[in-house]
Amino acid sequence: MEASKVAPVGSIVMPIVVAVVAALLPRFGASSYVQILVYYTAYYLALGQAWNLMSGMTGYVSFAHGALAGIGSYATVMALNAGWTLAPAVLAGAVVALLASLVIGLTSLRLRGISFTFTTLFFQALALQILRKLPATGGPGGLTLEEILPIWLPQLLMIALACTATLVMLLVRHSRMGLRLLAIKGDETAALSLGIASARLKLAVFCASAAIAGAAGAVHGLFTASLYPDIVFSVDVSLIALAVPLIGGAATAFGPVVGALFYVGIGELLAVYAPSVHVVAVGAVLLTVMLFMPGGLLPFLTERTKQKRRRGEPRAVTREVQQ
Amino acid sequence: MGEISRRALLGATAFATAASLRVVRANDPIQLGASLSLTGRFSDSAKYAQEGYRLWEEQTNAAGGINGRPVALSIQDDASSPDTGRVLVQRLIDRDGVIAILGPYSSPITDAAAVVVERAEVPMLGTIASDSSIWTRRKLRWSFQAFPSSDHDHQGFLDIIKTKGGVKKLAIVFEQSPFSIASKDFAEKLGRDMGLTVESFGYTPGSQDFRSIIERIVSFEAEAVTMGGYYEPSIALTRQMIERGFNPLAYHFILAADGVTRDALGANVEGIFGRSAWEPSLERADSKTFVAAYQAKFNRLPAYHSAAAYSAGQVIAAAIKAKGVDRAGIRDFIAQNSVETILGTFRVNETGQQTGYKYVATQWQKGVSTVVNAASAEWPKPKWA
Amino acid sequence: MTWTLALQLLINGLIAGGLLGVIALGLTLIFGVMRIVNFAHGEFITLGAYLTWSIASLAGLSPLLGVPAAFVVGAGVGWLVQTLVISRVTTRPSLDVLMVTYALSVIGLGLFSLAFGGDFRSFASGPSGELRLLGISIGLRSLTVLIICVALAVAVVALLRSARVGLALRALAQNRDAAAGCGIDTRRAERTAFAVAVGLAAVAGSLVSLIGTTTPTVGQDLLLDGFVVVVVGGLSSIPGALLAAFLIGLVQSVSGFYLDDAWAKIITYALLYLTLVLRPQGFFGQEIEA
Repeated sequence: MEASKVAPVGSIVMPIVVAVVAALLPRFGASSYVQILVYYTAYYLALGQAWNLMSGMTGYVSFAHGALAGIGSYATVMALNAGWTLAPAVLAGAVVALLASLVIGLTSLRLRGISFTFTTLFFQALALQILRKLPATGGPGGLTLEEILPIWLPQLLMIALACTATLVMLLVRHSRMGLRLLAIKGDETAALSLGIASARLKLAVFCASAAIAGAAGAVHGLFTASLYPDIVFSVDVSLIALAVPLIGGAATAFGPVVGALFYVGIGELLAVYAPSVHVVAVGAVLLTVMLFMPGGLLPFLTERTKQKRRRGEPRAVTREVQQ
Repeated sequence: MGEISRRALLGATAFATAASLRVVRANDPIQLGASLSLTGRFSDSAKYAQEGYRLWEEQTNAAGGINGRPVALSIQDDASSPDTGRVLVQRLIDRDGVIAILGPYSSPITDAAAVVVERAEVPMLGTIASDSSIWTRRKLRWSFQAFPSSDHDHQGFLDIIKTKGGVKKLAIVFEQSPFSIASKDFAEKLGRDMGLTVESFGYTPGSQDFRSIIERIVSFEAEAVTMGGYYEPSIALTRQMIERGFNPLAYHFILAADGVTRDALGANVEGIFGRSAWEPSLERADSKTFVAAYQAKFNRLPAYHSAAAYSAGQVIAAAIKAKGVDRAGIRDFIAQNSVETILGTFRVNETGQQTGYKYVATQWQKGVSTVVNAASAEWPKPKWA
Repeated sequence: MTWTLALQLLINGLIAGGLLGVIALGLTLIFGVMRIVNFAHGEFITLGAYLTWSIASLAGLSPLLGVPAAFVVGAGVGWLVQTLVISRVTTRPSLDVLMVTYALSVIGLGLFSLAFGGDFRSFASGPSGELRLLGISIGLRSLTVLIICVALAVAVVALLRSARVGLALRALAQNRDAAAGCGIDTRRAERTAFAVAVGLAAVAGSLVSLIGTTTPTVGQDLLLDGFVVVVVGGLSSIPGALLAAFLIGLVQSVSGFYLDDAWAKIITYALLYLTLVLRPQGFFGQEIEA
C-alpha cells in the first residue's frame, strides 16, 4: 500500500480545475438542463464522499447519511425562515447534522459493526417519524423557503462542497489518519492492540462525515426550496450516498467521482429510454460490482489499464493501490 | 488519479452538451410536456391520466391542430421522485422546447415542478393537483391548479348529513399528508359549525392496519364516518370495519365513486357515499362525446383522471388559440380567463388556486354509482353483511 | 381500560406479534447459521404477498393456497439465491456481505414495482366474517393468520430440536469449524437454513396480504420491525425472537390504540435504541462479533 505523507500535487489540482470548469459552464452557454445534471452530480458526489469518509474508510456501514443530510436541510431552512443570513444558515445545517451524529456515535460506535449499522438504519426511520409529527418542523407538509433562490447560488455552493469533500478525502487517504482508519477496517482488534485510539477516531471521522452530509443537505434545501419529510428522509437518499462510492471505488478519493458520473449518466439514459428499470438497474450494478469488482469501478478499470500497459513486463509481486 | 476519470469527465460533458442541443424549424409541431408517475406509487392513476392526454392529442390533431399546427405532447415518467421530476421538466423545457408543462400527480412532485417552471418562466397546469397548499405556501406566477381543491372533499357528504339529520357524532379518518390534512381541517370546521361533535383519526401514509382506529371510533360511538385518504387504504378501512361489525348510519370515502369499488366490496358497497370531480354519467354534451370517444379507443369507461387530463389539454388549447406559442402570453391567458372544459368551468384566483371546478356527491345505489343530493340520497346505510 | 378492551388489544397484539415472529425466526436462522444479517429478507416477504395476490386475483383461487405456495416458492428462491449469490461472499468481510444482500433488496424492490406497479393491491376472497368470543371480536382472516403463525413457530422449533437437519443447523450455529470437523456438510446446511428462512418470510408475506394490502414496499416496512425484534431478542436466539415478537406486537397494539400508529413506530424504534445502549446483545443473545 502506497503511503505518501502528502497527496501528489496533480491530484489536488485536478478537482479544483474540474470544479471551476463546472462552475463556469453557464458562461459557456450550457443549457439549464446540462446545469441541473451538473448540480445533481455534485450533490451525489458530496453525499458519496461523506459516506466514503466514514463507511468507506472504517468499514462501518451507515444508512444514516440521508437522514444527516436531511437534518442539515431542515436546520438551514428553519434558520433562513427565522431571518438568518445565508452563510450562517448553511453552517447551521452542517453543525446540527454534526450534533446529530454525535448522538448516534456516542451511543453506538463502541458497539461493533452490525449494531452500528442498525442504529443508523433506525435513526433514519426515527428521524422521519419524529419530523413528521413535530409542528415546529412543519409536520407532513414540511417546510418551505418562500423565496426561490436563483439557481446559480445552490449550484456554485454544491460544486464547491463536492470539490472540498473530494480534497478532504484525498488528504485523509494519504495521511497517517487514513492508514489508521483502514487498519480499523481491516481488523479492529489488531488495530486496537497496536495502540490505535479506535473509538475516538471513529467518532471524529463520523462527525466530519456528518458535517459534510449536513452541508450537502443544506445546499440541496436551497435548491429545492421545499422540504417534504417523506422525500427528504426517504431511504433513497441513503442508498445514493452508499451506492455512489461503492460503485465507483470506496476508500478512494476519485472513486466516488466515477460513481457519481456513472449514476447520473446511466440514470439520465434510463430516464429517457427505460425509466421503469431504474431501480433494478441500480441494484444490479451494485450487486455486480460487489460480487465481481469489490474495490469498485475505478480501481478495477485502472488495474486493467495498467495491466494492458505492462504487457510484456514481468508482473509485479505486490499490487499498487491507486487513489 | 488516472486517465479513466479524466476521460470519463470529458466524455460525459461532451455527451451532455450534445444531447441538450436541438435544431428547431418553423412549421414544427407545438411542443408540450407532461410529467406523470408512470412507475412508483401512483402508477394506476397515472396510466388513466396518460390515456386522457393521448386522446386529447389525437382528437386535436385530427381536427387540424391548434392554429393550423399539430401538437406533440411528450409524456415523461418521473418515477414518483421529485428529483427525477425536476430534471425531466428541465429537459422538456430546454431540450424539447416545450411551451407549457402539464403537471405531475402528488404534492412533492408538483411542488418540485412548480419551482422549476417558476425559475424557467414556463406555464404549468396542475392537472390533478387537489392540494391547494402548493399555492398557499409561496407566491407562484407560473403554475395553476387545474382540479378542484381537496379542501372541499367532505363538503357534499356533510351537506347531506345536515339535511338528513340524526347524526350527532362525526369521525374523520385522514392520512397524515398535506392534502388529507387540509381537507380534514375544513371538514372539522364545517362539522363543528353544524353543531356536530367531531373527532379526527390520523394514520401514517402506507398504513394498512386500521384496527386501532376502528376501536377508537367504536368507543367514540360515531354515527357518521368519513375517510379522506387514498383508494386502497379506504378499502382496507371499509373491510376492517365490516370485519369488526361496526355499522355507521352514514359512511363516506372520497374515492368511493370509482368503479372498482363495487368489485372490491361486492354487495356491501350499497349506500356508501363518495365525491367526484367528474362522472361518466354527467349529462353534458361535451362530456358525453368524450366518454364515447374514450370507450371507442380504450374499451372501458374513463376514470376522472382521464377526464382531468383531457380538460387540462382543453385549457392549454384555448390559451394557445388566443395567444399563440408564447409562454408569457399563455400564462397571462390562464391567469385571467375562464375556460369551459368537460370538468366544468376552469377559473383560477390571484394565487393560482382553482375556483371554478366543483365536486359533486355520489352514492352507490343498487350497484350503480350515482350523483346524489340530500333529496335523492338513500338513508341510512343498509347494514353490512 | 375495560376487560374486553384489554383482551381485544391483546388479540391484536398477538396477531401483529405472530407475523413478526415468523419473520424474526427466519432472520435468526440465517444469522445463527451463517452470521449474515439478511437485508434482502423484506423482498422475500413481498414475494409471498404478491404470489398470494396473484393466486387470489389472477387465478381466482382461494388465497389460502398462497400460504403453502409461498413457502415452496420462497424456499426455492432462497435456495437459488444462496447457491448463486450468497455462497460467493460468505468469506468476505461483513461490509461486503451486507451490501450484497442490500443490493439484492434493491433489485427485488425494483422488480416488484416493475411487475405489479406501485399501487396498492388487495383481494376480497378468502375467509370472511368474525368470531365473537367473550365480548371481543376476532376477524376470521386475522384468526387464520394467528393460527398459521403459531403453527409455524411450533414446527420450526420442533424441527430445530429434533430432526437431523435441525441438529446440523444448531451445531453450525454453535461452532462452524467443529461442526465441519464432525462431518456435517456445512454448505448444504447453509442452503437449507437460508431456504427455510426465506420460505418463512414468504409465508409471512402471504399472511400479510390476507389481512392488509400489498405494495412493493410491504416487505421492507415489515422488515424494519423484524430487525427491532431480533435485536431486542438477541440476533441468534430463537426463544428471544419469539418473545420479543410478542412484546413488540403488544407495544404496537397498545400504543396504536392510545396514541396513533406513528407513535407506535416511534416507541418501537426507541425500544431498539434502548436495547442497543443498555444491552446490545439483546435479552437472550450472545455478544455480537464485528
